[in-house]
Amino acid sequence: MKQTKTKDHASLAEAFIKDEERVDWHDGALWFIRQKRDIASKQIPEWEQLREAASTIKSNVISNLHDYLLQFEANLTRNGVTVHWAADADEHNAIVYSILKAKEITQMVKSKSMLTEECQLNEYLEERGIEVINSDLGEYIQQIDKEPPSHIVLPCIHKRKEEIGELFHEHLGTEKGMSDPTQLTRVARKHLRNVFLTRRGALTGVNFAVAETGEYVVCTNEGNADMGAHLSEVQIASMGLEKLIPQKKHLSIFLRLLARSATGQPITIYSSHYKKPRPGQEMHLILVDAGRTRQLGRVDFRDSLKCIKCGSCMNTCPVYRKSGGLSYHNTISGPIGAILAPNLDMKKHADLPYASTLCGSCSNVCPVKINIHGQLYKWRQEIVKEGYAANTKALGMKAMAWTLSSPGNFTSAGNAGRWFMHNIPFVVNNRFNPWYKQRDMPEGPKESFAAWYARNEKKE
Amino acid sequence: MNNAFILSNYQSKHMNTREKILEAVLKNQPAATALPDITMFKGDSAGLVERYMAIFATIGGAVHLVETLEEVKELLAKNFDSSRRIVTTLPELAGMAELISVAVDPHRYEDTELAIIRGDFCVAENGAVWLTEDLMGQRIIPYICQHLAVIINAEAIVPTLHEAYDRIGTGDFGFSGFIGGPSKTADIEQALVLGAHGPLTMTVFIMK
Amino acid sequence: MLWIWRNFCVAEEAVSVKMGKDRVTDHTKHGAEYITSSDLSCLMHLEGILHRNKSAVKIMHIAEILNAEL
Repeated sequence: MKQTKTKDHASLAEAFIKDEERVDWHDGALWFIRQKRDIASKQIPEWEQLREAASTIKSNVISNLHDYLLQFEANLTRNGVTVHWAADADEHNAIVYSILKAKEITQMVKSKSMLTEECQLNEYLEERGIEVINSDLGEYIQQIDKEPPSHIVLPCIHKRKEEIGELFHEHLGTEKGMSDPTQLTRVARKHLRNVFLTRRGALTGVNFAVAETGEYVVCTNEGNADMGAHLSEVQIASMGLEKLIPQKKHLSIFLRLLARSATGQPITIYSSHYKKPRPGQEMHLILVDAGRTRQLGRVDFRDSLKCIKCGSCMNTCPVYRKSGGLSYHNTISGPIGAILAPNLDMKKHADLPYASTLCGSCSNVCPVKINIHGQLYKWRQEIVKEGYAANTKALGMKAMAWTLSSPGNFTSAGNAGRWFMHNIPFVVNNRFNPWYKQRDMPEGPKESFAAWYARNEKKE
Repeated sequence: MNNAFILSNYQSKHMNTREKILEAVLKNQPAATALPDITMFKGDSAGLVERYMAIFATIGGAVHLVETLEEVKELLAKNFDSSRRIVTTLPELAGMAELISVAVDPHRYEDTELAIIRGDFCVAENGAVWLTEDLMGQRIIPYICQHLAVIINAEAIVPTLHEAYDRIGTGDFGFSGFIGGPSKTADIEQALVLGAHGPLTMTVFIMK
Repeated sequence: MLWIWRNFCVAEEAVSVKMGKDRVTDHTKHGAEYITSSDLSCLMHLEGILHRNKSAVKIMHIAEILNAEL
């Protein structure tokens, strides 16, 4: 597995940005998807009301989660689905393993599930002799490259087609230099079709789980979830607790918002409603906590659990577009990742809320109206309070607080700064000043504005 | 350790987990807020056939307005290779296609070139067709075939998903789903490719 | 001057500079001779990039423009 764990966002971003041509391409690709979202949303006059309704429904879910979980579990059981509960990644992985082992299944096909990425399920199963193949094309590409997905909807958005062609040449025996997307997709179609036909176990994620009926919806464009599920003897669904919605009719709100927000499509090609097993088939659903109940208890951050994983915040974020999802060292990256991750490991992910200009574009596009940039700001305060802010950040902020705390301090600081810049410029114009690396320092005026104003006001 | 022991070990372990999670949720969840009224969301019922046909074409599907099953047969014969395996749920098409059996192992449909089925209704705002398990013949059929053809009555078009879910109600099918066109992916440099793992093409016949 | 040490511009130097460069390129591509704003730190950042790259585009604070008009 390629290591991104030891470096922080800033240094990973710096490495990504070194290839300016690639960054410009990555930036442009994601912005284009943002624009498609805009075109789609503007075709719905009631778009803002849909967002408000979705946000309110999810508030109701979060505040009644206990009862909805019980209702969902009862309906699942009535439908013939076996329900499991997992406190953390280890328990989740052990449950999947035990289900497969009981049927002596040694090969499983998986459709997209960010939760199982978070839990590192594939590695866990591989260590125990169970082969897992990711059937979503983007996830498959990342799997054969031994790299995590960089975007929750577009797993290999950071890869050029030539690189993908090279991977297919190495792993699937395609002609060297083949990079046409249609040709590569046809090769993957043939290879993965054989996987679907031969795997007895299939695992899917869950986009929406309906408490009222005990069914769950899986949205794909490729049809890979259905190909795996309907040919399997054992079908497993892994879901985070927060994926619940109260009633089936609420799907109208969320399905109208999801694909338009994610890619600008009016709906994903497949929105499959799974309720009961086929005759002779086993169906399992695993409810996973893995930090969600802790986030639920955080007054300032619990709204992050409303997220429907559309990725629109990533597509619009200027920092994400210019640094790539792998710079965030967390399965869920971008703005939403930056408000979810510190709850999972505040020390490891203390840098993420600072990887933002707080421009607020994420909050503008979020279909469930999470105040993402507000939460980023609050996380910074939490991180400083808990002692995880880098020393220099804390010192810099303290210095700023002193400078701005009184007019006298402000004037002294300004006079001192101007004196140094006029008389000893090399004190700041040197390689120890990070500002100076790619920017010139400003010249510094001859006098402060306050002094100039005082002088000129008297003239009138 | 045998499999039954492993399974029961994990079961007893996560009975405790269930209680712990529920307890933590109850403790941490905020004060209850109400559900919103969503009855005001509705679509425009004018020109549904034209709007559906326009949207479905932009998604890369083929759509034909027809009056008889004869027309359907003619169009299918023209566009698809009849020497390959064609399956259907419609007894009226038994002359040109094999009737789908619910009893057969789904893997046996692997070589299906074309599947012709009926759809319950379709949605004008997004081009999607609503299919329930009974209409599919078998769950795998609309996904495993190389080409999918669906027949919908012209009166069975609704404007938006709001009307769609009113019509679906809570329903009780073991499996059902929306299908909005041929399968696709844009995972390779955002280049749109029709035909990922599901069918390469989709044809909808709107029957007047 | 002290505040520049640890805000976004410096903590995420590479991303911040790239954003500034792209903004400047966008402005000059549309034929701008002057770039203005009410945000001092934003103007400092863009001016730093323009000077380093010896650009002919000039920076003026919105107050300077209003003052020149009077």
